[in-house]
Amino acid sequence: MEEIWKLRLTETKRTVRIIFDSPLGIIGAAIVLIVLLMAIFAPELSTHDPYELNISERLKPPNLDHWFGTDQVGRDIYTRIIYGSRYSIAAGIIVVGIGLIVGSFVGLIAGYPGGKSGEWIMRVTDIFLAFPTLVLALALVSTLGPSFVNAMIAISIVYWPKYARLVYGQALSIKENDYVKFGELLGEGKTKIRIRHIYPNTLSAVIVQATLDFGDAILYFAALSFLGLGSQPPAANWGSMISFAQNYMMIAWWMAIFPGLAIFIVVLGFNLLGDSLRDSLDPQLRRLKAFKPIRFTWLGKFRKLI
Amino acid sequence: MKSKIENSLEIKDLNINFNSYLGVAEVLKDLKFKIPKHSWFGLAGESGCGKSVTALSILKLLPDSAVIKSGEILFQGENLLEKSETQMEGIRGKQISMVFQDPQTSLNPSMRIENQLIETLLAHKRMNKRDAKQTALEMLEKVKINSPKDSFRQYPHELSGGMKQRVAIANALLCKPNLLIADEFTTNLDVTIQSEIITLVLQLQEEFNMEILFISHDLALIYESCDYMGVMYAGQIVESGKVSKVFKEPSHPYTKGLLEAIPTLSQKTTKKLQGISGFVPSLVNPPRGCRFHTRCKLKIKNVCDTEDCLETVLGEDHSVWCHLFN
Repeated sequence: MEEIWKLRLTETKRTVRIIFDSPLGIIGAAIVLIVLLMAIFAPELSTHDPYELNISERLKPPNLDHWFGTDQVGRDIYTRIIYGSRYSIAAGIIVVGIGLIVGSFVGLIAGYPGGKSGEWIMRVTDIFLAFPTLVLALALVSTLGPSFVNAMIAISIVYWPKYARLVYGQALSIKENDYVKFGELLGEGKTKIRIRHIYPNTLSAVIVQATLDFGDAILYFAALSFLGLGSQPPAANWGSMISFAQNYMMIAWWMAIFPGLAIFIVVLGFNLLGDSLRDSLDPQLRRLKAFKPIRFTWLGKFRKLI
Repeated sequence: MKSKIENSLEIKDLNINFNSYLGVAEVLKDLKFKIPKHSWFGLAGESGCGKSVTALSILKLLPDSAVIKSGEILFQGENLLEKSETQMEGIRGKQISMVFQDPQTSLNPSMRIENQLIETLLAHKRMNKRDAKQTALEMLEKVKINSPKDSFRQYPHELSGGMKQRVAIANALLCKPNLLIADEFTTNLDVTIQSEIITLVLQLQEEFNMEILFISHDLALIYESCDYMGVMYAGQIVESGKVSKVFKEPSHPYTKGLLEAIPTLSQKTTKKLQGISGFVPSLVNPPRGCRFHTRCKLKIKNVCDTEDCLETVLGEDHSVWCHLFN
């Protein structure tokens, strides 16, 4: 008996273990970690000043001094990509943060105790969901005026209904559980039941969605910046870098390729991490995976560490 | 407390309707039973016959679509249906508590056992956290959980089904209720654990001096554990009385059918399993007269399908609602 109990892993350990069991999960987590470190330690990692103009060095192909080459006014592209990660990470955090807070709030209010008022709230969020994401964001920024803050506001407005819908759906099924009824029986208020019993149990689904959306948010911000509606020049951000590179596509391929690769890798990283998080937080998939034999020997060694 | 009251709970002619898309469903019709002090009352019946609705109506936790048309629910001599919501909050959990059917969903998966029990205590009693923790630990010992101190720090998914149900029972008993409603609380457990839990609750009943309303579709379990029982069919009580009497002389055709439908181990495999033919009628347009007449082999034409059944007292503590006895 005792031995069986010892074999049981704590919840967090098991989650971490499953993420690190799949090679894709490790790649995703590594990419996310690297980008976060890039954003934090940008000044230490960069080789030049991201805003310094140097006309004599303009449009240089990748070389030992400028690793990813230079742009049309001689700024170092490698440095600008490093600094650009700050904008991307900030965009992800702000959009997902606002979407999560507003969406969860609306979803909880509508989902418990439910009924007609909940239905009405959800119909309003459906109106938001009916518009294509990027088109609505574009319309909002062009009325608010192009800037980083306005781009964040626009994407957040487009994003929260997604979370509202997710939390609402979860709340509808969670509120049927007996512990919610027992809470009602104890005379706990609606707010307390929402916070103590319903919200914590929606989190696993919400976290997965948030991780997947982090990549999406970065992509949308890049798209808005590409169209000149995000942060304004000379700000170093990946979307506008590609936008300026368009004119020099034929003579300076490096100007567009490297920021494009940066967007591609970061979005891929967040999606891979989100996918493996979903695997580890889904109880049915988890049961299958938690007891699977270790496939890679080096991974096995790595797993023993955690 | 008034000393004259013999019955802890008495339900008189309770009628509850549900508004549904199909129309008005008469879910409970003239429901009537009483639970004497210090006894187990078993409520038996098929799925969907209104057992759980009865439980929820006692706690006044019915969904919004339910309408209480008439009747009285007397708890210790006072009518619960006349109580305000704030008065009910003082009764729910404290004087009347409930153990739910499925141990998998009766505990919040994201809270430690410790916090759930402490929260239950603090909801009704003014005490500091340390005392609450101590009381909760003692209660876990009473429901015989192995190593209560370890389980205290665990999450529900780390416990087995039987252990979870013990925690749920502890949770329900924390405020020392006078009446415990057990809604099929052993259905999802296997047979050996079932008997353990029933024995445990029997012991706890003596200790806490409470009444138990045991809702089940398992007649054998009711026979083993209860003092009194009622058989429900389509929202009505068809027979009620002392368990020994009902099992010895089942009078209503439905009760007889139910008892015959229990397969025995000695039964030869070639013999067909007995059942009651037909289906439970829809409650939106229930059959006129006796609700069981559509499936009854002994029905009397022009009586059973037109006139409502009345109570016939067969003896002390034994009543039946059937035209055959009028």
